[in-house]
Amino acid sequence: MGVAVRSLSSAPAAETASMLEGDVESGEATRAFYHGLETDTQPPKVVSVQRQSGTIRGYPARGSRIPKVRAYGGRLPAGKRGIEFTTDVPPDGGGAPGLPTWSGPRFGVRAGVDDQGWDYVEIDVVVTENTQA
Amino acid sequence: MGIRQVIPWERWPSGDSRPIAVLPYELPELSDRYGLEYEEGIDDLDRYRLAAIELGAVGQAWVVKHEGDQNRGTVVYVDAAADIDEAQSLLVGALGIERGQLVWAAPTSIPA
Repeated sequence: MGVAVRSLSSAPAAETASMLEGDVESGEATRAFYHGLETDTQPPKVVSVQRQSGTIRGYPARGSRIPKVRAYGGRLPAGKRGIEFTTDVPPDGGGAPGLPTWSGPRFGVRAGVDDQGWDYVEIDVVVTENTQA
Repeated sequence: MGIRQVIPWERWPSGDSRPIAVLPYELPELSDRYGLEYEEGIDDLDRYRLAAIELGAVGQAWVVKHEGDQNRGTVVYVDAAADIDEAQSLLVGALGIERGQLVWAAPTSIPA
């Protein structure tokens, strides 16, 4: 882990406007937060692995053959079970507001094939909150 | 032009989709207005509901809402190779709304 957090200035403004937090006046870097909610496909065990490895992995969505990491923009809502994270890697351009994706391969987005033969991509993250552990 | 709901493609023709707009309606209102019925699914983001509609030369558009998506409105996806401007025009025409009513419209040129 140990991903440095800095401004995601290359992220599309429409996607990041609601995700950014930081104290501009004090000079604190503005950073974007994202979150994922616990589902049947993101059980606590997987999240625990993600937390330890500092990576989040994504697979193709329905109808697609392009693997993407996907998340919700912004902080983890109070009372929800899931993880909150930040990353150096800017989301893909052209995404819907509040629904960032990371596809590649490109800088910061690694592509691979898992032990089941499924294509995936993964990004380095810093988990800032985990309500599933 | 009206709305014709169709069975979602197994695969997008180009191999991927892209969002083109966020409609100003939630799923129940879309059902009331256009008679849409939704399939339920789950992916590695969250549970979701989806309806596919025919969209002329663009083929299909998928109306999708993930359960944990707290943003206003409903996202519409089309094939990643489709012309965005054409798809948006067909979409608002089919729905009988103005482009300005969209909560969000994808830029017609995607930044690299």
